[in-house]
Amino acid sequence: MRNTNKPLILIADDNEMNREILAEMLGDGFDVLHAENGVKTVEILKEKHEEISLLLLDVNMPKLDGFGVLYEMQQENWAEDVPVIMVTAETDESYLSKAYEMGVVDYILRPFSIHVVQRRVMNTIKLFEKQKRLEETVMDQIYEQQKSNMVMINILSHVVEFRNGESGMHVIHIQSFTKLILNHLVKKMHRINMSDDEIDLICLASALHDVGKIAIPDAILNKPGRFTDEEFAIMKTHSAVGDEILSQVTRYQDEPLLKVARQIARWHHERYDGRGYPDGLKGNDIPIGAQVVSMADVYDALTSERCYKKSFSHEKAMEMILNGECGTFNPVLLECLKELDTEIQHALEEDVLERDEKDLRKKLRELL
Amino acid sequence: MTNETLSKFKENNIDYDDAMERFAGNEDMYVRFLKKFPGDPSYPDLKKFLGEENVDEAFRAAHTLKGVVSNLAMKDFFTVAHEITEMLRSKKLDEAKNFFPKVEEAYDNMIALIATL
Repeated sequence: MRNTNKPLILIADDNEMNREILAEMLGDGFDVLHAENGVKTVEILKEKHEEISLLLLDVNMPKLDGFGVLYEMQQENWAEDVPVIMVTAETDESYLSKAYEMGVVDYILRPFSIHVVQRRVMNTIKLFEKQKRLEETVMDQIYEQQKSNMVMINILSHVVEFRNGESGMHVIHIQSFTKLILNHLVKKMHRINMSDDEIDLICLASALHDVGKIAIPDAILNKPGRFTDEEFAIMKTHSAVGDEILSQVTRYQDEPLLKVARQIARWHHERYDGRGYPDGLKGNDIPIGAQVVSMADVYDALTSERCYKKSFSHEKAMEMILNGECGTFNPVLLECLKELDTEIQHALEEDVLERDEKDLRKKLRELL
Repeated sequence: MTNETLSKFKENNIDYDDAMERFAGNEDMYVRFLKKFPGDPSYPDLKKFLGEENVDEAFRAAHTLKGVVSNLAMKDFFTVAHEITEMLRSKKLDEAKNFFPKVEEAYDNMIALIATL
């Protein structure tokens, strides 16, 4: 560890005299590391990219040239931590624009001048630090807002489940399951065009899938034994009722979240073969979000203890779903389920909220 | 720096004023780097790689040499270093070899001058 507050500068140049001139020109206000070729530069960056305030990068180096170093920095995301000033004698337009495209912030031309070296280095460090602080602030704010949304939705769905005597985990399990399946589906089927935002929206909306259960009488909702036909008919109304409740939310009918939530609430008991309820939709007439939530709902119901049943193991639940004992599903989604297998089980065990937080922060960082 | 030295600089077309501007008037620093020039490997590298007809490495050495002499404000040397760099950049090895004595002459002049500092 360093015991100074001076900014740490990495000077990458194969020529010792060039490095020394730059180091002396920088003066006492900086700590300096030297790298005599591209490979060494990458090694030092790997170890110290969080400490280094700036890289002064020569292009013409043995083993790996400056552009090679820039490429590595992009691949490893070090460019987020370390701004780069190119040191060059080339003023060729195409050369400089290539450097800029690869993330270089500024350049210093040979021959060096003390004033230019110091100013450019100082300006770049200051701007970069300021930019970083701003990004952190914006990120914190967006994050807090998004988090409030998630908290509200989770409270709402918990209220619904609370009557049911179900753990509040059901909704969270459905979200994790849905996210895993959709992410896998998008990777697997290139013709499915679904952005991360759309996936997140479906996961968020999935929390409201059973909102219609608030209209089901306690005696039926919490009945331990088998339903009579009449009771089952009443129970089945919860999906259409959920849609109806959401349709009467006065203000936000055009919001994508509400639209998707209505689809999922209404159609999460449809079946791929058309024998589900309430509308008997068939195949891909059922929106993909509702299809996935339907499968998630079945998986979580099987693996959880309920007032009328014990819990099944992951293996048993998988077997039952894949055998078609619990309804028919889109074969592609069944494939996804099979391919993910124990990943599903682990995802439902881990702390999903913590992972969501990480995901969100990662996405915001990419965005900014 | 003595007037005698300054006139020697002028004779050899070393731009002392430019150097002082870039080194912010720090003559000590400038002279220290001039004295390091005989130890700089870029000229011997250029000579060696030209001899070995290794045009890529010769180019890199010439390019580095050009950068070093420009930092040290050696104008004449810079001109010949620049020319041989461009020949090697376009892989004209024979042309560069024929041209090399001019680079050698510029180098020897500088080494002789630096020895008197």
